[in-house]
Amino acid sequence: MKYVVEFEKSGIAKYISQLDFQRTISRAMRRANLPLAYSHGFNPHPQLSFAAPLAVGISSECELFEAELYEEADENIFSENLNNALPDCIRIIKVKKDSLKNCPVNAGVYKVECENAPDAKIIDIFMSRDTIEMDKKTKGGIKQLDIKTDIFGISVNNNTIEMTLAAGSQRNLRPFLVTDAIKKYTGHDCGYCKYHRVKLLNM
Amino acid sequence: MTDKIDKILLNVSKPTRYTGGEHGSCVKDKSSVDIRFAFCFPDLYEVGMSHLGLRILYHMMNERPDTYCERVFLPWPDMIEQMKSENIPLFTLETHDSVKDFDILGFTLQYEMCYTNVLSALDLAGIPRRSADRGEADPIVCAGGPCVYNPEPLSDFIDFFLIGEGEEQTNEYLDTYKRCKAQGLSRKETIKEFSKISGVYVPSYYGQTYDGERIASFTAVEKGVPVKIKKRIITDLDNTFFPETIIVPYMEIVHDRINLEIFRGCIRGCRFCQAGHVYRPTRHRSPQKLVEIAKNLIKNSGYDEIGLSSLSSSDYPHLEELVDSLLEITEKNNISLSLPSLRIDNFSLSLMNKVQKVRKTGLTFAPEAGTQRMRDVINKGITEEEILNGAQIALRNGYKSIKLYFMIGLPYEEAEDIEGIPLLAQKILTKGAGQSLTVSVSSFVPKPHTPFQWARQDSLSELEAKQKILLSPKISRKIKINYHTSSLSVLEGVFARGDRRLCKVLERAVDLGCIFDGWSEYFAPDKWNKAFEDCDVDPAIFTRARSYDEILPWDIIDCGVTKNHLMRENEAAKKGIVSPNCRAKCAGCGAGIWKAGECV
Repeated sequence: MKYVVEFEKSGIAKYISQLDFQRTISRAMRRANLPLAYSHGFNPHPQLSFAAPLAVGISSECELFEAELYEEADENIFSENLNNALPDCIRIIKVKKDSLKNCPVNAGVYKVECENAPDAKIIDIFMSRDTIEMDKKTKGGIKQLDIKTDIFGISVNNNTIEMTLAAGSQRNLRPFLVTDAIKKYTGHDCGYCKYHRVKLLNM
Repeated sequence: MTDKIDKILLNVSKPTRYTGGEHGSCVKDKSSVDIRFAFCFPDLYEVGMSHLGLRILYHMMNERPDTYCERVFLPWPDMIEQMKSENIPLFTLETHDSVKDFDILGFTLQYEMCYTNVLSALDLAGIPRRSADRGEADPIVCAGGPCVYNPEPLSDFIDFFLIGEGEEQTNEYLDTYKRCKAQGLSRKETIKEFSKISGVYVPSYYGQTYDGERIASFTAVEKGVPVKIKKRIITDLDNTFFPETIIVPYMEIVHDRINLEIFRGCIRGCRFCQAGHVYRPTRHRSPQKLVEIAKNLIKNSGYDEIGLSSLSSSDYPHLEELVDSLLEITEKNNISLSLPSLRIDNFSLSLMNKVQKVRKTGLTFAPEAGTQRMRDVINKGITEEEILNGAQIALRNGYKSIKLYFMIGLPYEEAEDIEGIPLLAQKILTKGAGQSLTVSVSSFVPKPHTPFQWARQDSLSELEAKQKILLSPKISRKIKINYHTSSLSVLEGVFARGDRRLCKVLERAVDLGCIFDGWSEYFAPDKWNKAFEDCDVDPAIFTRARSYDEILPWDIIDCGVTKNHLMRENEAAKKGIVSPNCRAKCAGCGAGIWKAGECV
C-alpha cells in the first residue's frame, strides 16, 4: 500500500542531493522498522518516489514523497517513528494513505531571501521583456532556453523575492536561474540568497 | 552552520562532505566537556569515513562525558580555494569550530601519500607546521595508524605518535591530558606526561646523526625516555569497545556499508606485507560477539549491506558458523552480505554461493607473482594448481569476470617472473574458458617491519622497463593488463623507509603546491623532484638496499616481530623456501610475548 509523506528540509538538508536523499530516507525507514517495499529483479531498489525533487541548495517546508509498504502501517505511527529515525534537518509533517497520482504538482512557490533585494521596479522591467533567454546546461551541451513561460508569478517584499515557478517532471525551473536572469537582464545583483520552497501547486 | 560557510558551500562539489549532521554523529554541549579532540583523517570525507578505526575511536571517545571528539577531513581543492578567499580556517564537521581552538588534534595516517595533506591541514587550520614553533594556544598534535610504524618522516611536525591499537591507549592519554590541564601544566610538561604512557613516542626526545646515506646514531636527548617504543595491542577483541551505532553519511562513501571486523592480524606471513607483520598476533572476535555487533548496527544504521573485514577472511576459524548466523538475520531483512579477502577454493565458493543469491559480480584474487619460484620467494603459499583450480571453480559457478592482482619489482625477481604474469593469466583463461580477465599490476614498495625491509626498491626506469616486459608475451586480447604510475610507488617507498631528512623535503613539496598525492589528478612528480633538488636530498638514499647491521629509521619502534625473525625470513626468501603459517607451526617471530590470539 502507498503512503504520501509530507516533509520539510531545513538546515544542512538542503545540501543533500536527490540521490543521496532517497538513500537517506530508505535507511531511515529501515531504522524506523517501516516495511518499505523493494522492486523485484536483479537489483532491488526501494519503492520511493518524489513529487518534485529539489535542487541542491534549496530548503523547503512542503515536500512530498510516496512510499510503498508491504504491510499496512498506522499513519501516525509511521510519521512518529520516521521522525525519530531521521536527523533533525528532515522533519515529517504528515503521512496519509494515498498515492502521488492524487496529488499532481506542476509548480512551486519559492521565497528567495536576498542580501541585496531588487525593488519592484526592477522586477517590472525584468518581467516586461518578451523573452528571458538563459543558458541551460544539458547533457548535450549548453542550450538557450526561454525561461519566461516557466515563471508563473514573481513579486518582491522587503528583502524577499517570492516566485512561482514550473516544478515537477514535465517542466522545472530552478530559482537560481531566475536570480541569475535578473542580473543578466537588469544588471541588478541580488548577492547571496537563501532559497526556500514554501508550497507545491497544481496550476 | 555559520552563514560564512553556508555561502561557499553552494560553490563547491559535494557539499555534504563538509556539513556534518549525519545520523549517528555526536551532538554534545561543547562547553560541558574538558577535552575537545579534533580527529583528522587527512583525505576526503568519503575516504576517511570508510575507515573503521576512525569510527571506533570516534564513538569510544564520545562515550566519555568529559570529551567531545569531532571529525575533520581535508577539503577538496575547490573547497580549500573558497575557504582561503573567505578566510575560513579548517573546521570540524560537528560544530564547525576552528580546529586551531581544540585541545588535541589527532591524525590517522593510513598511507604515506597523505603526508602532504597533513601539512596542508595544519596550514589550513592556522597551526604552525613544526612542533617546535607551536605555542600554548595551539592544539597538541598527535598521530597514529599504520604509517607510524616508521614515524620519522613526520617527526618534525607531530608532537607525539601513538604506536599500535588505540582502544586502551586513547583513554590513557585523554585521562592524562585532563589531569595536566587541571594542574595547569604547560604544553611541554603535558607532552612529557604523555611520554610516560606505554606506546607513546615523542620524536623530539631523540636525535640522529648521519654518516653519508646511513644513520650513524639514533639516541635519546631527553632523560628517562624508553630506548624502544613498544606498540600497544588489545589482547581480547571480544571485550574491547566496539560501537553500537555508526554514522550514516548522506553521500556515498567508498565503503558504504557496515564493516564487521572479524579478526586482526594475519597468520600467513607473506614477506612483502606490512599489515601481516605489524598487526600480529592474529586475534579473533567470536561469532557470538560478531552477530551481536551486526544486530546492533543493522538496527541503528539502516544500512542494507554488511561486509566482513579482515586481512584474510578464509583464515577465520568459525567462518561458516558466522556466515550461517549472519544469513539468518540478513535474508529476512533484505540485507546483502559481502565476503572479501577469500581464498578461492571449493569451500569459499560454496559459502559465496550461499551468500550471493542474486548478484554475481566479478571475483578478485591475488596470486601476487607470476611464477611458482617468485610466489615461494614472497611466501604467498599458493600453488599454480590451486590458482588454476580456483579460477575454474569460479567460472563454473557463474562468475563472469575475474580480476587478478600482481606485483612487479619484488626482491630477487627475474625477467621470467614478470613474463610469468601474463602467461599465468593466459593459462587461467584457457583452462577456465573464461570471458574476460583483468590483470592489475602494481609496483612493490618495501615496507618497514617486513622481511623485505632491507631490499633495494627498483628505480622508476627499472620499473618502467619491467612494465614493458609484461606486454611482451603473446596473450589473448580478452586479457586486459593495467599497471599504475611507478613514480608514485617510488615516492611511497621513499617515505615508507625514510628518515628525518625528509621533513624539510615534505615541507618544500607542500610549499610548491603538492597535495592529494594519492589522487592522480593532483600527483605532481615534477614538483616533488624540485623539492628534493631544492633541499639537496637524494631520494635514492631511502630506496637503496640496507645492510643487516645498519641502524634503520624505524628501529625505535618495536612491533613485537623481531629483527632476527625478519632476517631469517629474508634469508629463506633468497633461497625460495616457504615458511609455514602461524597455525601450522610457530616461527617464533616475537609476537608471542603478548600470549594472545593464535599465540596462546
